[in-house]
Amino acid sequence: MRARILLSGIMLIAALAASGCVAVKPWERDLHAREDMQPNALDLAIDEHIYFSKEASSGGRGFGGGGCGCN
Amino acid sequence: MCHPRLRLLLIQYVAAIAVLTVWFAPAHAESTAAPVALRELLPTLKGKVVLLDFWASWCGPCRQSFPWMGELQRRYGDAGLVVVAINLDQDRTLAAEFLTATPAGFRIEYDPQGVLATKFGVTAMPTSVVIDRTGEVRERHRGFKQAQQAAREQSLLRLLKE
Amino acid sequence: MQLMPKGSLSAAIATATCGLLGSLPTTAVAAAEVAPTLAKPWVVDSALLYYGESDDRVKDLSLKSIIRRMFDEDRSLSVNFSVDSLTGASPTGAVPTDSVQTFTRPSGTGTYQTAAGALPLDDTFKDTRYALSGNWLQSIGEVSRIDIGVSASTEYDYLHVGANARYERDFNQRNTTAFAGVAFGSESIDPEGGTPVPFAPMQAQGNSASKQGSDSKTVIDGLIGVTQILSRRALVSLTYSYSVQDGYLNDPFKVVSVIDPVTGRPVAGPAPGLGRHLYENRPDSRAKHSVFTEWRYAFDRDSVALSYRLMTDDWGVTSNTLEGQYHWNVSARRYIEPRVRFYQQSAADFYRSYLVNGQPLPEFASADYRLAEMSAITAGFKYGQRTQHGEFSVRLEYYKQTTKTDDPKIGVLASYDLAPPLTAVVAQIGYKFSF
Repeated sequence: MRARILLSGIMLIAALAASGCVAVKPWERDLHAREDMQPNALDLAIDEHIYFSKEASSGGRGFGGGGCGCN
Repeated sequence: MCHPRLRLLLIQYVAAIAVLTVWFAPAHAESTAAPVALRELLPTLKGKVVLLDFWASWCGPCRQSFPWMGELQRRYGDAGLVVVAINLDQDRTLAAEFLTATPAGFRIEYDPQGVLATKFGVTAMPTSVVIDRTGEVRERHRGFKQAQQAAREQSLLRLLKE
Repeated sequence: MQLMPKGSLSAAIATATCGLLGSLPTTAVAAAEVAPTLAKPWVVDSALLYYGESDDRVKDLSLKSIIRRMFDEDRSLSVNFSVDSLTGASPTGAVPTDSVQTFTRPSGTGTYQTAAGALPLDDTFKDTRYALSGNWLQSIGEVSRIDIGVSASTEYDYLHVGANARYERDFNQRNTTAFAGVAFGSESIDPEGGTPVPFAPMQAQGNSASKQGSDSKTVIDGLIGVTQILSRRALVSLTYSYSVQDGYLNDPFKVVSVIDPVTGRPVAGPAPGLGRHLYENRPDSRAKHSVFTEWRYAFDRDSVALSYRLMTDDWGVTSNTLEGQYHWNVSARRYIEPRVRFYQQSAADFYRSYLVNGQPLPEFASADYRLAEMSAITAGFKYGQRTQHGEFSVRLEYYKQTTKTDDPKIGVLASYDLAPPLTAVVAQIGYKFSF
């Protein structure tokens, strides 16, 4: 079961990566460079801090959760 | 059963992402014909050492490189150096605003379709290409690093002496 | 422990080559260049946060700051610090009943009372927490980056230390970025009065028979993922994380009441006037799997972001989180960003609202509402404005959590809500500037 999920995940990632048939040229990345297209590290850290101590899930976004005695 | 449900889920996920991405995509006309000026650019500069720099207004290091390139043009223009900065902004007004805030002191050309950029294989912003007096590409630099400035100036001097 | 979120890492590094993500605003509002360049290598992003639950429950005031210093275009040092001041009361897991109840404080040095019909809350929760972490990130060659960091945080009864590392590599003309990270953490807990013996009963004031010494746990996290630019306007990212915790995972302040199978009232405890409330007992390990995906899309002026996270663990908790935000660039200087979040989780296998007197004790049990079946919604907005030197922002959100308990409402419990809804307000003021 776990192995299947992992394999499907890898296939999905490979499929996404192969969609570089949509290779966007570096100079066409003007919109991606915009500040509102970047994640906001401070807001994310604050959200994580709030939800970590109120719910049973934490992290999974790209941080490890933790560092507080409240859960 | 786990397997077919999972496959269906993955298909739905990829489909959702594809739909979301394509739904809002504006139709745009693609033209691969370079404006005449750009095509004639390099042939007219034969005999000069050309520093061809590809930049855009949204690129931080480009802003830092401008004063340095302006200085180079000032110092070595008489010796035969021509700095040409090729702007790749999709929106011309942003380039204009950038140039108002950061004056150039060298020649600016516009290549919003990226024809010249593709020809020179630009993969990062900024990219500088140094072309010698015979029209050969001698150097390529990706990005702009202050630590490299002195060395780059030295190699330009060498090319100017040729 | 923290693994830096992808965007901040790339944004910091790629300022040398604007590879994946540059950091200038689209309009040359030269006034507020809040991304670091060598001309202004420092960026300070700070926020003051107020979190307040309704009904005398938890209130938190915290100050958080991320300070980053760029060196040499492709290296930077980032220091995060935060200070939190927590006050207010939190449910202990004990059941309400139709008469006044007396409980012993976790420290063993005092007692507190709960009115008839009220949910027992313990306000021993007053505390100040300090956290500090530092991360060093740099490029390796043209297309790779590495980030390593350490973290520590402390409350008066708790200490965490940790280390983390993350590696990223670009492919496909930097349209694809693969990343992997790992984090280790070690935490020790030493509450006043000692950690409770699992399933031991709450004793009277001054009696430490149910308490023992300090304890600890270790946490290991790993993640791998990929971000893919789909078009000039869209990108998607997919991350898989695995986390395993080992050691003391109980909440030393939580109990499970033992109730009479007919009346629903807590049976008598080891001392007169004290009910029988057993300290909770959770497994000593927990393994979590999470899959997270995010899609971002840029319009000509605005942008939208949608994300989803699925989490499942070996405690029986499965959760779904769906978040969306729309960034409306009202003008070159101002934006409003409405946001919404939906959350749902299933109960942990060992979650119980109470234990029934006379029935055999289960292997594990916890009445902590945070392990119950619940759903929550957050709605709010963020407003930002560029000033001469930076950007000022305000965030306001409303959080409502509703919990569902499956245990039958025996006897007097029929008149009470064993896990009432939780509502909270989040208010945040932030300022970001570079110099």
